Amino acid sequence: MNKLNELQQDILTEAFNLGMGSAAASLSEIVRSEISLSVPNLTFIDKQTAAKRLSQNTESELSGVSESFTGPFCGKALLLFPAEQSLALVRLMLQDSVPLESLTEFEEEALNEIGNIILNAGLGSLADMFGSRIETEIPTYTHGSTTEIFDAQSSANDLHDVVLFLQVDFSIKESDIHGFVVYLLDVDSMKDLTNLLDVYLSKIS
Amino acid sequence: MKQHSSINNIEILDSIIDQTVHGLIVLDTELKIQYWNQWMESKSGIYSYEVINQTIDHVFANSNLIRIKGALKKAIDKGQSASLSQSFSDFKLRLYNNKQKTLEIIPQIAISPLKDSSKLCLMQITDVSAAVTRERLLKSIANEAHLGKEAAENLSQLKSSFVATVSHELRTPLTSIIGSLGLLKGGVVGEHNDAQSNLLNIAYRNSELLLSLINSILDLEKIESGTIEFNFKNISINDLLEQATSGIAGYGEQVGINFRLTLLQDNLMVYGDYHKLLQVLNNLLSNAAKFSQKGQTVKLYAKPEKHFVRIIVEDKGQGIPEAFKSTIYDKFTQLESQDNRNANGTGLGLAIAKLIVDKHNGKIDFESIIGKGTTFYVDIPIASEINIKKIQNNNKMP
Amino acid sequence: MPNTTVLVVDDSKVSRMMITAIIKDQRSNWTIIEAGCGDDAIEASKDKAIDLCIIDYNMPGMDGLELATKLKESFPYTPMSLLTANVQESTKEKAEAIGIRFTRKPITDERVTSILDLVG
Repeated sequence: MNKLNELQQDILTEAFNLGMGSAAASLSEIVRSEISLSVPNLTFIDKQTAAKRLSQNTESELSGVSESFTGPFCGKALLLFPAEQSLALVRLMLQDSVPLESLTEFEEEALNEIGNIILNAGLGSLADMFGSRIETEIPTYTHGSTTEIFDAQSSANDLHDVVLFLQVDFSIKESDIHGFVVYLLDVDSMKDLTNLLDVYLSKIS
Repeated sequence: MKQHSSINNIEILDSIIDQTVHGLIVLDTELKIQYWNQWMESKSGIYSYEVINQTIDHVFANSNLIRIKGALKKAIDKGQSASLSQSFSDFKLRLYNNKQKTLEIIPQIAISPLKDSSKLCLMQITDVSAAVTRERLLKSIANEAHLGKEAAENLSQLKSSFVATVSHELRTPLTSIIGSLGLLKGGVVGEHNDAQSNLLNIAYRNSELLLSLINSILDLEKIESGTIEFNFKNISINDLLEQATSGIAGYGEQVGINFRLTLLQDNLMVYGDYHKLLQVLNNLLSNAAKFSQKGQTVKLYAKPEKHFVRIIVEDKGQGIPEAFKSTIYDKFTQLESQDNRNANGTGLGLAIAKLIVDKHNGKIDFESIIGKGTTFYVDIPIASEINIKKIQNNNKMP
Repeated sequence: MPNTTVLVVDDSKVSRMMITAIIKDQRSNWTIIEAGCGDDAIEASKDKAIDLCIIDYNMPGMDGLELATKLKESFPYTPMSLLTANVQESTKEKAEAIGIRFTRKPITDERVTSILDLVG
């Protein structure tokens, strides 16, 4: 159900991998140990399918970060993890093993910063590629079931039913953690994005 | 452009910003300060006129500004916002004023580009020093609690293996003693006179009692710590009752007590561990016999209820005094029976029985009147899907 | 004398397009062999004379360093460069350890040219 053709998908994947490369470098510097990030796959899918991929059971808890962005295309960017994975990631990065079953307030802030770095890197990479400016707002921590999160993010009908969905694999200190980045795009934005991709393709071929 | 309010008056807007309980700083492309709100002034003792057009390095000298400056540049050049948590670098902002007073705060910082502006960005500072201290305390308490829990679990493990080892070490020689005494007692290695017989009997009886005590202690420990295996399956009540009766028959003859069994008219199935339930019934029946007079009858029967089966052991013996009613299931509580028949008891039987019944999600209770008799009830849930699930959940290892 | 042959390995078709476009522009008479993954690269380079390798690091299956190590067995004197988005020190060090260059993405004319210059 992917609405991108092969080449368009290829460019986006490369752009995000590039972004993840620099995000990983920033994160490594912060925690002073090796981190690698990769984007194994990327698709444009409808919200329901995205919700299913985020969790087997749409009612199970997710933790993450959301930030709004504006530019040649607009919407909301989300970085989401199943709740236990977010705990594992933050505590690995803080090198802090705390026997509490939910994130403390400052761990939420730490996750916020991690998400901010990753989401900004992805969008920054697209912005560089298209030669445009994509502005992002201050990220906020978000938590809940997939349904709750999606509903909270899409007020009224200004968000399209189609999302850009990426899996992001973190590899840190011999642990592997998987998160997901979801771009909820405004109604016209998908068209704007695919246009930009086609313009870029014609420039390089 | 978003219109948040109807207020256009600059004075009012200025006043709103000045009453904000966070630091607000605006910087330009050269990272020079163009706005320094009242919170910043009060916290630092530095007035805005002193810092306008100064670079951020100049104002926050001696603070590690690398991450902050990186984020500020990104905001101005690319329009990206950033949230800098204090978790990743313990940076503190040091503020100076003319009087050389220094203040260190642990800040949470949000940086964003100002829209519709000529490349300015906003830095918001929240003082989270108190909250950080609280959180560190919370974490250390949680850690201690966790360590305490681990220590308790280790202790419990140690206790279990200690009991198991000791029981084994005690049992082995004891078994030899019992064996030897048995042979002697039975005249296998030679005749003995009455006085010798008497002594041998005493020795043998007490050794058996000791062995029984060790076994009970081990049993109890295993059940309590959950290391004993329960073998649950569908069991027929009538089957159980018959087996219990035939098992106690020998003892009944020995002490001159009759056991009368009434089977259920419509047999019922329960979900349980056959041998353990037998153990419970055996204990109740032998207790009933011990506290009855010679020639009396102990009744064993069952009553079907809505969701469970009630097994009843009824005697017409001496009864249980009030004082014992609350401690009867405790370990080592022992009543004295009228003709001292309970001298051979371990005092652990009811404690074990209660544990077993609890594992079955059942109930054990009794009614007793001194001089009239005692009736013990054991309620066991009927084998149905819900009850089976409950028992399985109950018995999951911690 | 056969044309200089370059092996370009990257799982992204677009990246291969960009790299080959730059090579054609700068060295129009060179032969280019493309591969989308390590196994294809090894297959495509069998019994050929390869003068230069440009290898992406992040690929499914064999990663760029593993591939470079294998290729070095058949082509011990051929200059090679990683071309990658993965900018960590550790990757750079590993590349140096096996004697190959390390070049960052994004793919630009200058960066690709600097790799081509390894051959001349």
